[in-house]
Amino acid sequence: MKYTLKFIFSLTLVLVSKMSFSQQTIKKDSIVPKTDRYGLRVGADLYKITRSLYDEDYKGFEITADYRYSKKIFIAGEMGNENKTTDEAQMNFTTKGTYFKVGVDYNMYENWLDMENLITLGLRYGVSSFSQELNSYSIYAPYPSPFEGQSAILPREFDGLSAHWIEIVAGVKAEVINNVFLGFSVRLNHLVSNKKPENFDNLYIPGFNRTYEADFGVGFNYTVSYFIPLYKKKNIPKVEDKK
Amino acid sequence: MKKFLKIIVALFCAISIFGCEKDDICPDTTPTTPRLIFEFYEFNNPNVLRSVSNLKVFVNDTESVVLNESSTATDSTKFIATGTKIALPLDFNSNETTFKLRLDDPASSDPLVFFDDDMTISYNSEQIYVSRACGFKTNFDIININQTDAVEDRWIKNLIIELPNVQTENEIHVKIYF
Repeated sequence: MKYTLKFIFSLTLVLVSKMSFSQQTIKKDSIVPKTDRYGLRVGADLYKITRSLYDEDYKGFEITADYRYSKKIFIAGEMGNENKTTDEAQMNFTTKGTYFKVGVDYNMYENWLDMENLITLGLRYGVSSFSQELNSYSIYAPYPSPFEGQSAILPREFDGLSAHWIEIVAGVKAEVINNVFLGFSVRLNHLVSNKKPENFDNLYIPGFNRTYEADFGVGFNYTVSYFIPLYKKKNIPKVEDKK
Repeated sequence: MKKFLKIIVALFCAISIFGCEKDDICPDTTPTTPRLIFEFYEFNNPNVLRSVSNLKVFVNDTESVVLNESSTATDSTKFIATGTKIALPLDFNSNETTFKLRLDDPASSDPLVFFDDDMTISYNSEQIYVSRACGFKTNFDIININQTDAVEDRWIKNLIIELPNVQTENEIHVKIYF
């Protein structure tokens, strides 16, 4: 695993170094001075965008961002909007809302030379503000009955709902071409609090991906992002930078 | 790196476990829409239970109500009740349900000799959310039971609403004296 990853990244390095070779001057000392680039990386979740195209019951998007705070620590966040219609056996409802997640990512990967790939473990605090619309439901009666199971009711709206949760995130980001990163992350979410609708429940929370009715959720995203470099910081201050 | 991989593997395992969906079955123990439970007593001796044999119940005059769920036979035995208790479903799309209770004359062995009593039950209903698997249930609040036959034509001599709040099938809601 260790060597396979290093092979993949070294392949990326070959591609990257082909572009920057002409810029480098020949250094006399053996230690390569390392400068880290600091900046803001902004991206979007490809999964939600593609799902909006093929899934007629779903419309959503997610924007991701992270800002390098130190060599290994990044302040990260996501923001998104979802409009999802869930068709269950007993009911059909639509959830609409936005969510914000903010937190920290810690880069566990030691990059070679001037690569900037990441394998991160992080935490997020998420909040969502949403509304539910109960479109239809059927009355549950587990016995033979001459009466209809479907109840003719108008759509019921529940506004002003909210939820708070914490997430553990594990992610990977690799620089594929100049400043462009492809990333993937998986998340485990735990619900802290949620404002429930009266005579219904928050069966779906935007950004949370609830598993059944427990307070846990799992999520993932597949992102493409662009890194905007803002400044550089030298890593080894004693070595002369001959660039 | 190795320590990190262990964390990743643990995280994936945790995700798989928590990602599992529980059965989408509404458990039998969860109270859902209850039926109206009637118990039969002796009119002349009001504390004594009285058993009915060959009782049939109809809605809309002709449609039979299943009274004997445990009967798996394809004939009409599931529409016939014997015993001291019956459970009747109420129409949750309406505020009243009319039943016709047909009792075979116990004095006659001829099944064509029977007594019919019509009763209209009026109630308020409330639809309550139960869970994702069960959806919604209805609970009822009995307002009145009106026997539409003339007093001298009734086989049900007396009727008492014991428990107007119909929330579970574990209690007797109406006592019938005949």
